[in-house]
Order: sequence, then C-alpha cells, then structure tokens
Amino acid sequence: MFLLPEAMERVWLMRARGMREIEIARELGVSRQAVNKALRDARVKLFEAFFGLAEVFSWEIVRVNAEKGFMVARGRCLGRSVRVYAFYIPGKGLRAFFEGDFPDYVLGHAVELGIIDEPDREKLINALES
Amino acid sequence: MPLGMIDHPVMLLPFILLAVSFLLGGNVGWALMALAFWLVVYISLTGDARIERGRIVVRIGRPVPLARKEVPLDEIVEVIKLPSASGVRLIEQFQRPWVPLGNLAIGVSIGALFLYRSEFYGVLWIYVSLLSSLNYLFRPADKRNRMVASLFISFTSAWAFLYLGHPEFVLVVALYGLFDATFANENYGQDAVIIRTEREQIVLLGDSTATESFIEEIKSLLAGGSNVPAP
Repeated sequence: MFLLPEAMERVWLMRARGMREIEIARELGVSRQAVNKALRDARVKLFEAFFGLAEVFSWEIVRVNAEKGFMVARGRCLGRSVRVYAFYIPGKGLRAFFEGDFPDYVLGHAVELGIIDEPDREKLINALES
Repeated sequence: MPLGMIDHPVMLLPFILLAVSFLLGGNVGWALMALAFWLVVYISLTGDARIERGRIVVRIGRPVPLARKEVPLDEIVEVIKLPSASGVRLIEQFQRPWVPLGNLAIGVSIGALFLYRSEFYGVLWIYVSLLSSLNYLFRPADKRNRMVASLFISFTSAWAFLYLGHPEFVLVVALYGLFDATFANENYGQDAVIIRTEREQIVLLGDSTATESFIEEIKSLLAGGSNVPAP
C-alpha cells in the first residue's frame, strides 16, 4: 500500500488544508526550506503513485492534482468508457472510485481539504472536472 | 504539430505589427506586414515544449528563442489534459488571458477599420478572428453550443458578404464554417496540456499526438521511481 512517510504526510496535509509554508514551518518548528523540500518530495511521490495507478489499470489520465491529492482518469469497464476518481487519503493511501460513487469519508476528506464546501457528490464531481 | 504556448506577450507582437502596418499604409506598412508575416511563421513553426534534464522547457522560436520558460518537474502541482478534462474552459486557464483576447480584439479592430474604409474584406478579418477564438471560450463539453456559435458566426458573415455585394465569398465562408463546425464536434483545436506550479500556470496547445506523448514523457519521468527520503 502506498503511503507518504508520516512527517511528509503531515506537512502535505497542512498545505492541502490551505496553510502557507511559513505557517507550517512555524507550527512544526522547522525551517521554511525544510517544509518546501518536504512538499516538493510529497508532490513527486503523489504524481508517481497516481501515474503508476493509471499505468497498471491502463487508465487515460485527465487530471492529476498533487496539491490536493486527487486524480481524474478515463478507463474502460465492461466495454464502456467510465470516469475514475482517485484520492490520496492520509493514513489510508490511494482510493479509486468509478463514476463518482463516493463513500461519505471521501466527501468528508474533500471538505477538509477545501475541494468542496459541503459534502455533496455532485459538487465534488463538478470541482474535480472543472 | 509541436506543443506551444500562446499566452506569452511575444505572441501579440505580429498582430500589433499588422495593425500598425494597416494604419500606416505605404511602403512602411508593407515592410511591417512582411515582418509580421515572417514573425508568425518563425513563432508558429519553430516553438516547442520539451522535457530536458528533468525540466519542462518551453521555447517560442528556435534556434534564437524570443521567449523561454523552464519549470523543474518537482515544482509541478497539477497536470491537466484537454479535451479529456471536458469541464475546463481554456480562457480561464491562461496566465495572461489578455494575450489571446488582445489578438481577438486586434483582429476584430482591423476588420472594423477595413469596413469603415468601405473595404469588404474587413468581414473576413472579423469572421476568422471570432471563429479562431471559439476554442478558448467554450468548454470541450459544450460541443453543441460551440457548433451553434460557429454556424451563427458563419451565417452572419455570409449574410454580410451578400449584403456588401460579394456573393463569391459566401461559398468560402459556408465551406469554412462547415469545416469548423465539423471539427468542433471532434474537439479539434482544443488539445492542450495545462501545467500548474505554485507560482504560474502554463497552457501548451498542440494536437492530440503531441499532448499524448508529452503526458507520456512526464509520466515516465515522474513515475520512473523517485526514492525520496522523509524530511
């Protein structure tokens, strides 16, 4: 299972929630350069994980956002084209869902990261697609 | 067709030169028009976007670049591929939307200037300027609206040519409009890769083969196995 290292995940999550690098550095008591480095590394790891996932399942990549940790892709299921939405959920790793069939914890995660302002499936699809 | 960036201020230069050449007229005008033509050829045929030494390098013009931009791969925050991202409107993605909109404004102004001088081909300037901007203004998902807009502009231009007493251009506009509407249905002209970093956003336009291979290149570099240590 793919998981970011704990410290890196913490920094990434704080940034994904909208905190600035300088605020994260102050909160964690580290330098801003260390935060910047951790964020760069986290983004590369997330890209690597999402691209790898798409490669394994032969999905066509539509959008990968390493800041908020999600991917939109196009795949084929039973001969028809389907939309795939994948998320990096802290502590759980990568989770992929077909055609926006999101469980509540994903909606909660999207609200927490500011992707949407309320846990609504349609709103989340719109936010991911536009 | 290689990937290219069209929202760089340099892209306004040929259109400004063209506008000035029409305003001045005479030999200076012809010289500026020739300069604008060769500038368009140089910019559109020799610009490209490549991945070199772990960086995305975008050049406008080769071998002497008029503009150059480099983005390290670890600065990339988001990658979007159009037209697959069918809900994304191109004009909202440009870092400097005033460049393509400026080109549209210049094209329409040149057309209006010609019409003011009672020169009928002003309609052609307005027609081509409006039609070429539709790809930026409509989302790939809005295919039908894009087609209706294309047909409406073509119909209006054809009517304007008829009204101005040049029915021979009606066929040209009708054929071009038909092609454009057909291409709109295939999302032709909306192939793009959008690269977002924390500081900027780069829109690279090209064809489907170029966008596909560019994404593949990024994919193979980023998913190539980075052994990143924890901070």
